[in-house]
Amino acid sequence: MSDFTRLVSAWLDGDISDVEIEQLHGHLHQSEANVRRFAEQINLNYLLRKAHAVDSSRSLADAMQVQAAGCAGAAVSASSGVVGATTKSAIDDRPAGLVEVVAAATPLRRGGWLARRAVGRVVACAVGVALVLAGVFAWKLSRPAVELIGVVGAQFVGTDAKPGSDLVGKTLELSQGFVELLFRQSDATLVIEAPAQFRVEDAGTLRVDSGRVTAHVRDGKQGLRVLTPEADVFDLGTRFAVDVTRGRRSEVHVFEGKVEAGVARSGSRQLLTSNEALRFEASSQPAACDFRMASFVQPEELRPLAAGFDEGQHRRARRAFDDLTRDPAILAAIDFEGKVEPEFIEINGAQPAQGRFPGQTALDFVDVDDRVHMNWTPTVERFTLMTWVRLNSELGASNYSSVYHTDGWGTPGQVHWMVKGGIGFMGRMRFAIHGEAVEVGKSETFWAVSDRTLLDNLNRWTHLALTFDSEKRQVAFYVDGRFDTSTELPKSMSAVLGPAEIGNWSPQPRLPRRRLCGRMDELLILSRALSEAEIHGYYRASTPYR
Amino acid sequence: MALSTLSDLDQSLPDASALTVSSSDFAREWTKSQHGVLAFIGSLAVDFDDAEDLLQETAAQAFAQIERYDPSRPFLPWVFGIARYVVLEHYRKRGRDRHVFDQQIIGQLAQAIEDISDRNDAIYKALSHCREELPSRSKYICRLRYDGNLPPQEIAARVGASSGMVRALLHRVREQLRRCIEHKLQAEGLAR
Repeated sequence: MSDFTRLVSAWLDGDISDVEIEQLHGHLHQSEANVRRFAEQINLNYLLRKAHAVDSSRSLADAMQVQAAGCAGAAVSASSGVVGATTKSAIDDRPAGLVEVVAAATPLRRGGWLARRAVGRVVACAVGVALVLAGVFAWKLSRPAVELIGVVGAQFVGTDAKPGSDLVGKTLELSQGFVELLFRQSDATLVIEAPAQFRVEDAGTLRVDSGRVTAHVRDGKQGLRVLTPEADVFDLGTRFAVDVTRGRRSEVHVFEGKVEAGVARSGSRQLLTSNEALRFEASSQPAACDFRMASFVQPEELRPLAAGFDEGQHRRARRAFDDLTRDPAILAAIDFEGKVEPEFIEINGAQPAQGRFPGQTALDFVDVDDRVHMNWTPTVERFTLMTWVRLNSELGASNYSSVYHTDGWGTPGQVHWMVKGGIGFMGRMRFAIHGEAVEVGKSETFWAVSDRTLLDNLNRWTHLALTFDSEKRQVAFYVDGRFDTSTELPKSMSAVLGPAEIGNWSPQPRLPRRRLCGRMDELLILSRALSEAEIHGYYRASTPYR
Repeated sequence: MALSTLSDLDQSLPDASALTVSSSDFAREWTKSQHGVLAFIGSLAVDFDDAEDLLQETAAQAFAQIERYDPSRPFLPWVFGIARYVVLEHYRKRGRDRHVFDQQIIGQLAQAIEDISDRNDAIYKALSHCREELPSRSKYICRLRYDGNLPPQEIAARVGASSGMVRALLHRVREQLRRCIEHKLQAEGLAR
């Protein structure tokens, strides 16, 4: 790459120093050909931006159509009242088109001549507008400062609350589901996930004793304060989350913008910016921790979750799961509810969290050693592994997010299944089965990689499936019920499925553990390769979204 | 050769004559030029989201100074001069004295962008096809950069790669798209 090309790229990426700008300037002065090349690149950059904006507008339009349909449904369904705020923000945040930009700029300067043409009409309009404004003002005054604007499968302990309630001064304990709150002063939408206990202290302060809170604060001038037993968090207009584990710790995760966070009652705070997280524990100083986005439900996700819940997807999913547990080929059906787990599994560290449906449990793999051990040793000719996962935007320090790994690596037939980050894989699934050693240092180990990247599926529930058939010599991947790709095995080989770890694996003591960066809700293992139709049917029956 | 900074803001406004331009003339010229102006502002402003605000400000400023525009001279370089001033002012408000190009380079850039502008519809159409041919990982990185407005280091953190790798990939993608567009324009007899 020439020096000029490098500088142009740095300029286009917004990643150029003043010294480099001077160098680029020098190149542009050297020849008009350089200026033309630069102009072409600037133009291409603009068109790329425009093309992506058009894509986004289409997605927004699609989403709004879905939301419009959802609103109609919400009018007749009181059980999940996720209302207004999401739609409003989606409209307000849309990118201004060029036509609108010019239209907005032009009349500012030359609009006055219009006024002389119809004074009477203007006066009449002014009276009308004044009446409307007065009505709007009175309506605004009457609205709660902090309002419960939506619930999804929510159950409260003791005091109940309904959509529309004013929550200032109220303490609530949420045993299952989600609630959505609107803090009008800072135009902030908050999603609180069960189990949670919280109190709205005033129009700008929320106290959280336990639970997970995701906040989108649109007015940074007013700010929003979140107090926990361990931390004091002050937001200045951004997206962030707070995770409070009662009696243990509080974490602050910043998705976008800036947040000030400090030890409770200490008065001092430190600044956190996007993709940063801080953990507060009573016994130690605040320390940086892994940034986790998938651990928190964003306001935008509530509507499809609410629609799925309203349509009874949680019941459909339970039936589908129970049906598979009766399949003669079932080897393990783990739902992490603590009721039907096989005796040979042991949960180490992974935290119970709400599953993909209100009132159900998933495991959140938060700390580097979190894992589930399966002390079993099945050897099979065919198998299917199926799970629901919610992957974080950060795929982990090791760039491997382990789904299912047999212990160690070296036994012929043992299998590994993971999601791999890094530029070469970009969040694709990877499967490995260890082959026979053919000579020292060489084996017939077989690898397969999915086609589809899961980077489009981060921070939401995603269904993953893998089938293995020794006789057909085939490994196939599925994402959200759809066939992704299959790869031919070099020869027939039996698969050894245990002992194994779910959600973690340690390559060597000194290398980073390959923790699953996210949540897992159920794992099904069968000793047959399910068909594409069966996997798609299971996905349709068990997705939380509509 | 001297780079422009805020210290020479007072000299950065376009030189003007006292000829009259109607608002309809202005609207016509602006409509023709706005894509080029946005491309130019987009190249000066680090943040894409700022670019649209700055375009609006440029339109307002240009309209306010319409009496200073000499219609016998090209419109685009005149508006570029205003856009440059608006961008410098934007950085001044944010406490940054960002370096941008001098008037000579800006004049040449305006001319070059104007030369391209009559083919922009064809380029955009070709780009739409060429984007489809990108590998999915390149599409994803492009989306993070051009839709998500993320700088290379944040993209790197998100996909688990080094920022150098992301920069190299973005460069390769742009080169690939440029070649693909050229090829398609040649096929349609629109290449220069």
